Amino acid sequence: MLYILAEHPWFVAASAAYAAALALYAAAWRSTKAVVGRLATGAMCAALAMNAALIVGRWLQADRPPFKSLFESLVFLAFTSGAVYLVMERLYRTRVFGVLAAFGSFGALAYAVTKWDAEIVKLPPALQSGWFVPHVVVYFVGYGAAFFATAVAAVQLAAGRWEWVRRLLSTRAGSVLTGKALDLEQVTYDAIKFSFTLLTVGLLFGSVWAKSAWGDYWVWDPKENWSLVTWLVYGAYLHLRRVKGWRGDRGAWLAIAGFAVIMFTYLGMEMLPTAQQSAHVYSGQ
Amino acid sequence: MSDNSSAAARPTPSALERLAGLREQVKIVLLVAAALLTGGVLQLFVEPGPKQLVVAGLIAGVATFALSQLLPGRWREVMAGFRFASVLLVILALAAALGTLILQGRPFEEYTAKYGAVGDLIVALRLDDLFHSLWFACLVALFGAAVVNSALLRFPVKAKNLGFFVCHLGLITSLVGAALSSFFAVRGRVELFADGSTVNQVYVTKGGQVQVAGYDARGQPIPATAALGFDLRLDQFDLVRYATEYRVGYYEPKAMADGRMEWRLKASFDPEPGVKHLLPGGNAFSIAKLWTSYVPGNEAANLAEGKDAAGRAMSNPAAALEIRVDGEATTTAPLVALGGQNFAPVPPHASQPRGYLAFERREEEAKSYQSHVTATTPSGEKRQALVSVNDPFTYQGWTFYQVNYDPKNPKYSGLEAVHDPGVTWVFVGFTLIMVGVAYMFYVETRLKRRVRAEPPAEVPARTAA
Repeated sequence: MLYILAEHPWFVAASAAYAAALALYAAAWRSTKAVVGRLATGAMCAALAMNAALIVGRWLQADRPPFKSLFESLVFLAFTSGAVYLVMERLYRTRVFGVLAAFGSFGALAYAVTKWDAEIVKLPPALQSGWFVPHVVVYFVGYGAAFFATAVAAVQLAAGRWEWVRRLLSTRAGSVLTGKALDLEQVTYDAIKFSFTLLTVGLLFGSVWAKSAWGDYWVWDPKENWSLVTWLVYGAYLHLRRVKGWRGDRGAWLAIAGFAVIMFTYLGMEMLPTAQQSAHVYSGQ
Repeated sequence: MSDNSSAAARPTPSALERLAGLREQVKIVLLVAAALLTGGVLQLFVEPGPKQLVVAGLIAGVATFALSQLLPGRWREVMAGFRFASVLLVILALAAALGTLILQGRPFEEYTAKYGAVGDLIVALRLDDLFHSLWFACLVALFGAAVVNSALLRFPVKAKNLGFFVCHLGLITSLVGAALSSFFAVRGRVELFADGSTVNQVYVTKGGQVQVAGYDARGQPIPATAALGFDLRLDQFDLVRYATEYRVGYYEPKAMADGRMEWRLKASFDPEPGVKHLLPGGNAFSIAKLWTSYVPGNEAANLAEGKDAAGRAMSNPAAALEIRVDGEATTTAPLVALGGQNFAPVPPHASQPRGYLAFERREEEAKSYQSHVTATTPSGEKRQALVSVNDPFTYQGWTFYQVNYDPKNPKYSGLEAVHDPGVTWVFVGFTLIMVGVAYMFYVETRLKRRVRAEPPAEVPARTAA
């Protein structure tokens, strides 16, 4: 830890700010003072600023977009998850999900420490493409939205089972938590719509890029396949929502399953027997 | 009259009527099972190939669509329904996942060796090349028929459902483009040498392997080729490497799944004399001395000092490291980057060190490589172009991609040549899907909300006649 503190102060500062945001969002449930919630949002904004500084610093140091290794991508995921949450906080005017969002971003950075890969890897020619940044950015914002949707779906399931979760959701504390009933199913659906749109764009950007680099827009590479699986599962969610009996708990479980597939696509490729056939397994994994 | 007599009077339903009366879920299971079975049985008799896949898919798609229109009992509605679409999406997802769990495109013997008796089943069901199997093609055909049905059922197109149509049109356009690619695309390898020679054909490949057209009199395979229709010459090949750099790397052991121990680079540092760096685990080091051109025995010569030391030209660099463990500092002997002993254990005298610090030269990785080529038609028309990774060159229906080089032969360039009339349609389809999805979620929703918000039109009061 000391090593990271000395060598990478922005990393530690961003992690600490996410942890502070987490604590403040949790405290907002107990406090009757509006300022606690505002402080939580402030801490989240500060964490995002530091996370952005970490990304920009790495970009300048490496002289390339910092999305090559698993470590770098986790740092970016922490940022996009947090940023998507802040937009949702503003959109739905609630801080109820702040704890989960801060936990997600903090968790991504904590996991990045275990995959520590401070070594700056050179960018191979295939990655030196104009499609690299849009492809990754679109995907990771989509992942951030999918994480948010999953967090809301999990809360929806928990609220249906435990009274104390229902109480938390309807807490009115100062002006921090409005106490206004939230349509959790609708919030999940909105977030998945947003995520699905970005996953669609990301998938298609990737295929155009693959075509320009290797001459093939689709080669049934394991990572491509799992990106397609993610898209198909969320596609099924969006269709099933129109089928009687598929809203509520079933829909929430499907949303969670979709995110599980995303996480496997992102982190699980090494486990596949076909991993060696993939050109997409992260270095540093 | 008894119940028995009324039952006897009721006519027995025909097979078609029974089929019509089935529940939606049963109809869906029947459709999917029929597609899988048809493809599975068909591939026992027809060797799957790109053209067979397209033809089988087309026939299956048209047949399913025609049946859905002709059969009584809301089959068309079932096939246009959200439930059917969802089931198909999940089944396609399962198939895509399965293709990553089973090795694809390997020699048959490998499956038996790896999976035992199941290996034979994998090969028999074509799970070894799942995405080119006929059952998968039938599944995709069913999906295509469902997309067409759902679009037809929601016709006509209005502003409120435009996104749905654009998206579904995109899906069909992509599928048609992919079918055209399968049917007409030619892919091959072009090997060029910057020695004035030209090539006018490509070696046709499939899955990266050169295809065999036949065998000569001596039994040697004759590679399949396709004519380019023009001559292609490599004028010059450029290989640009990243600049050489020297760094201090810190390595720690990592136990691998197969029991091996591998040294993994945990962190690396610029060689700046005097700057203290903490290491994972809490130890620290700094560079006590840095030589740009180390001369053994003359340690006062060629010393580099200051922050810009790392940027100086280095011919035979060396570094002496001061490693600090538990407050005790130890200075290593000069570690010569290009010499035999360029590393030191951390802690310095430990029999089983936690890690190693190495002063090393980074590999000179390829930064970019590109071919300057000239294409000449039989009529003498010339076209010069540059082909590099991510920047292909298209000429007379062929597109050339820079995919290979030989670090030992600077005059060699490996290109991939692709003639694919379907790809444009695939990308048109992709664009339509993107636009359709975005419109469906963000414009249609607003339009519908606006309609709901509008006050209902006033109903004219009915006047007494």
